[in-house]
Amino acid sequence: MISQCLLYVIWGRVDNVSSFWGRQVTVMRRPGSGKIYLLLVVIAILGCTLFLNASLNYLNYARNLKVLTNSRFSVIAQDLINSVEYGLNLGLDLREISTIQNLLAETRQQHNDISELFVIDEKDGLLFHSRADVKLMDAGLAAIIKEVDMNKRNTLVFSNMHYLIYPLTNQFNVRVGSLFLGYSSSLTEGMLAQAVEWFALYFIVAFAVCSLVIILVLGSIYSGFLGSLKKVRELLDMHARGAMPMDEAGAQTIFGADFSEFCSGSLRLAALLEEAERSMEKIENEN
Amino acid sequence: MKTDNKTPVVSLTFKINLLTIALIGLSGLLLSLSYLPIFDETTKPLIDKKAYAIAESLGLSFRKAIENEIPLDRLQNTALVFDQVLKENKELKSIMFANPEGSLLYRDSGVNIDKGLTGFIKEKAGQSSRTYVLTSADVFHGLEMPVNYHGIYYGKLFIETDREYYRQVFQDILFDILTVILISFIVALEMLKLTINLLVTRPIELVAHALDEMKKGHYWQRLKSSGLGEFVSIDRQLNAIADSMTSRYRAAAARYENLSTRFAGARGLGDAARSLRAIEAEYLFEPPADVRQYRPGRIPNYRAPFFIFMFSHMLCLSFVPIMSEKMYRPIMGLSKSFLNGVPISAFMLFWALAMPLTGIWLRRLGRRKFIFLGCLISALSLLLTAFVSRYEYFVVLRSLSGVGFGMVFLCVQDIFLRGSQQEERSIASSYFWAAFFSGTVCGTGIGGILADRAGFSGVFIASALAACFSWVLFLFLAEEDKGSGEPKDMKHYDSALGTIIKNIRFSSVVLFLSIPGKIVLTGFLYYLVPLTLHGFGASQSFIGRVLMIFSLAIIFIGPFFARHFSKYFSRAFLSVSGSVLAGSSIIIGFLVHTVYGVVIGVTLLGIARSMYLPVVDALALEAFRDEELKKIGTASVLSIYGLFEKAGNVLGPVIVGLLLSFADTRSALLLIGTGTAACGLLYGVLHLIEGKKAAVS
Amino acid sequence: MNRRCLVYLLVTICLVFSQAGLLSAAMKPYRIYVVAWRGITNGERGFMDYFTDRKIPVEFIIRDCESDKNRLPDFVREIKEIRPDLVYVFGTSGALGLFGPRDNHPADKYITDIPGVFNIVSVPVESNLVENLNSSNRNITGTVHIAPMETQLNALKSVFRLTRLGVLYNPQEKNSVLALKKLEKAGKEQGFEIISSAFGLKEDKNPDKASIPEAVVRLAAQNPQLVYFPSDSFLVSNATEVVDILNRYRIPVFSATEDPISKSGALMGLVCHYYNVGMYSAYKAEQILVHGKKPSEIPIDSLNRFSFLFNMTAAKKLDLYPPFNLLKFVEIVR
Repeated sequence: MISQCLLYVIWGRVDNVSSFWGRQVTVMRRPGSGKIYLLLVVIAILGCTLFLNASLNYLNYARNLKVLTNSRFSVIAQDLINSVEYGLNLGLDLREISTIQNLLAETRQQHNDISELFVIDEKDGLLFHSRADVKLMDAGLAAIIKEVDMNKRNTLVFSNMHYLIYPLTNQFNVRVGSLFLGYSSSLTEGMLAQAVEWFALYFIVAFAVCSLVIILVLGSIYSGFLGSLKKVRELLDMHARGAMPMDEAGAQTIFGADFSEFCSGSLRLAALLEEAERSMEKIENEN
Repeated sequence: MKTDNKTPVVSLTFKINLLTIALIGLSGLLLSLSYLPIFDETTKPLIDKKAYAIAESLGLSFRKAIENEIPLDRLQNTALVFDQVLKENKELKSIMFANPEGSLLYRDSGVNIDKGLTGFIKEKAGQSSRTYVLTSADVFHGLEMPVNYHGIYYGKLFIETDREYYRQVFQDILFDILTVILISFIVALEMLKLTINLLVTRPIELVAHALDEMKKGHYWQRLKSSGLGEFVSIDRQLNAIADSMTSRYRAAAARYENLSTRFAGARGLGDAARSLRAIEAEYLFEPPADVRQYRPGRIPNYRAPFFIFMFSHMLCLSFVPIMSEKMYRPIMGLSKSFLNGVPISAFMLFWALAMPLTGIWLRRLGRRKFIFLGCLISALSLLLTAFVSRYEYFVVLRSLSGVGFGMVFLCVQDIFLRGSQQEERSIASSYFWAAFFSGTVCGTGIGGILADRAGFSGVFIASALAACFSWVLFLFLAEEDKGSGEPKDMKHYDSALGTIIKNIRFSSVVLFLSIPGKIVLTGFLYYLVPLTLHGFGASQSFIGRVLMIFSLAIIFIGPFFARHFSKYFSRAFLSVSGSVLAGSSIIIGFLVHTVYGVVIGVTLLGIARSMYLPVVDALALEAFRDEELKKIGTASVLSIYGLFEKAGNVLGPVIVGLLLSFADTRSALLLIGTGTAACGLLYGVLHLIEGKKAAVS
Repeated sequence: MNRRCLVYLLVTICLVFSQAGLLSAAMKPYRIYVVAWRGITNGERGFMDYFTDRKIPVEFIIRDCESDKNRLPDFVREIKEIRPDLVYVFGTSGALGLFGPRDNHPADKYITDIPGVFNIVSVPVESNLVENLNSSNRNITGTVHIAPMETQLNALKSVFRLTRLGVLYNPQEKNSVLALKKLEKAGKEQGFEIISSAFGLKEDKNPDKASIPEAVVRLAAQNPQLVYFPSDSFLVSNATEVVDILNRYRIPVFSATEDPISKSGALMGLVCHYYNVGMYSAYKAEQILVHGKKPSEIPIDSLNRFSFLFNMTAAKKLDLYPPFNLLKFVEIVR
């Protein structure tokens, strides 16, 4: 049934011109109930609205998650930057601020969802790393940061890691290096994946409930309308069989007085034709 | 159509619309509310971690004080710092510091200290600890962080987290959710209008028309089944009745012919003849030569696809200047503010240039192919814009979008205005503009919200998809037509241009009302407003909503003015007042140079435009005497008027961009506002002078 | 040897020499003529260390005025003779002596054709050294060693709710007088009172050291909340004596320069370390020498970030401590 509907929707064409020229009756290319189409359209509209709503809420959630995560790490990074700048303010070169190494290691220990912390110089050479055994920056990461404006704060995603990059500047605002704070993408991805499931589930439930309401309520509203059309068909049927529908019955259809007048007009025509036919039959019989 | 058959349709439509809107509103709100617990549950641990990070950071300052032997009860500005931290971190509710004796030394200015809290702090502060503790009690929910230095306990920081932070988050997006729901209402009403028209209204109109014709005796009428199942049998029944009557008549007529030939003068022939003549006097079985095709409800079919098409293009309206500002790089020494406006001007220019293109190719290709081409160009250019990063390419793609937009816009306008019957033309025009403005309202609203979440690229991808969807709808609904060679428009331009622009009254309408109005629209509203609000730190969603207000003012207030004020005031008065109000609304942005000043200005601008929008083109026509108008042709006047209007569209961002090169935003607002009001007043003066001259002559 | 070989040989020789020339040009160090005012300060050290740290080859030719401006013409003559690549000078007096005032610097008397960088000048415009700070429109640039007055006042107001501010100054020192004027203007705008006291002058118009106690006591008697020390070499040189008197009255001192805080017991100040200012001057010199910029293209400004110094010894005596909001950034001096 669904595939048939879809087939008609895709392949069928709506004949949207009704002409009263000629008498050929065009074959109806898309049979089926208008009720189904109406329900489908309303369900589709509601589906789109709910989808938009769910997407909006999900995107908002994702954004808040990102902001919450990054703002927390920014607090941590800012304290590190303050410590580095303290040393730079004293006139020390970045390489000479030996406390940075311990600071990075301690910070990483205190916040176990930080994967790595490191400082590079203005030529992107690694100076300090939260893990003392790391002496070189990842080559892939080093290649990517060449495309980035290192004079500004940046965020980068590389190899399942999120990096927050902060420039380190001296007292006359010349960049002398950068601080990298890296955390695993799985930190937020897991939560986002779970959120997608929940948001999708709630969306499906809401959609199902609304669709049911539409099918039941809208269906019955439309059925009421269909009833009035059925009445018209029955009266036309009666009329075709020669019975004259009651004036009130015709007037009470959705076509009102036009219907009754049509019926009386066509019955009058029928009467005139019968009269002519009778006369001619009489002539044939007499002759 | 008689009201008898309208009422059940109206009732049905009303019920369907009401049900749909109620469901959209309720389900939208309830769904959003249902997500709050998810948000709350998943973000609580993150908020706790953030509180820990902040506690560590504050702890550093306390430890430094201890290290330098600064008494902890002599620290100044501590409350200020706590307040600043809370302001920057809305997830936190309060920050306090107590010494080991339990005395509260410092707290933020907003915390409410009651007995319960004091007791709690006294108890907890008195307990030394090595590490932080997460607490959830009635009086306090958050983090306790001891301040230790070289193993000695000096006090405790209490950082309270907001248990109902998710409510704050919900409030932040409440406006966006309501915007989406409002826009969904509009979209739903448009799509339902289309569907009900296709499924119910049109078939009923067709049947009613057939009944009406048949009751008048026109039995040559037949119904082509255009509805679905429910109407097919009615159509067949009516056709069967008509067929049987027609065949009976023809058989009777043939029989009479035969009998009158064979048995001329026979008795009974006269009766038969009388009956047949009575039938022929009242009933028709063959269509007359001059019969017109009845096409009910054809116009609304284009409203929905055109609405979607407008929606697709308006999604990006709220951030084009912001996007071009981000891509800015120095080009040929041109100023940044000038270059920011070029993409908008390019779009408007190529929209205008699409007019001759439409004139030539629409007739040759036919509507379906032309609309397909327009939608294809739109969709491609919008999609490519999503991936552009260079300013020059951005301008080129906006120009292409203008071409695609212009093609479809002009084609649909042609369908609405020229294709409809004379008596339907005003309805067709109102449908056309309703689709235009609804699409603008929905597009700008959703575009801003999407831009905030999915970025500018996401919005352009969505625009491309919407343009494709509009084409699908056009495909189903657009009629085919044959090309008919050179359009009349081009000939009109050639011959009438000189005559028209030499008319002073027409020129004054164009120079002082129409062009300034368009400059205000594209220069102020589409260019300056988004940039100014962006400069104030407003989000894209907010900027989209502000642009929506403008269109909503036109949709809801415009008809009010058209209906009521036009009775008491002349068109010229309404135009002048509208111009002055438009200018004043911009000056408000100068006087109250804040977000709210701009919002008020935009709202008033919408009201101002709705005052003069319906009457300005009529003023342009009124500039000519009847005999002049007959000679030149209304279409020519309106076409040339339209050309000048489009020139105003193009000039708007250019002029504003140049102004900004030499003056700041506030000064630019003052100049534009004053200029617009002055133009309106100048037109008023000229109108009076011309009126007096005419009276004297 | 045929013609072709000869050509090859000649080309090779040329290439070798040109490379040698380039190489030698590359290796040849820049010559910077350094004019100190009162010996090598941290300003000069910062200036010179910058080049060393970056391995930029520089030969420094160091001269000292020993606080005597009469030595400057000799240095001018020498500079014209040896033609270094750049001239560095400490202080306003030195800069005016070498480069001349902006509206009157004849080429025969001053250095005009060799780029110059001045260091530790507090008010270059008011001293008539340059027309405006965005561009000197001359062959010189430099750095200011004082934080903007507004920034200093903000730092001050983070500790005090300012109502009465005292100022000690040397009426012969332009920096001092200008600082007082700025404070008076700020006082009117921001609603605090300025009480000033000038040092007395000797017959030769130089400030009189003997007038210090009287000037300080006169100021203290008017009950200022605290006293502001402008960048004033006389005051800086006698800061210890002044601070001691003020401490007896428990009046704290806010200094615009580093030395009164670190060496003389002033309570606090928002300062620029001379070393860092020297490095900044060297950065500008690098822009000129290595990157080919013109001095007029380099704006004259101060550091971007300042140091908030707080003397803990003075703090304990006066029972006044650094504000919490600045604790992380404050440099504690004892």
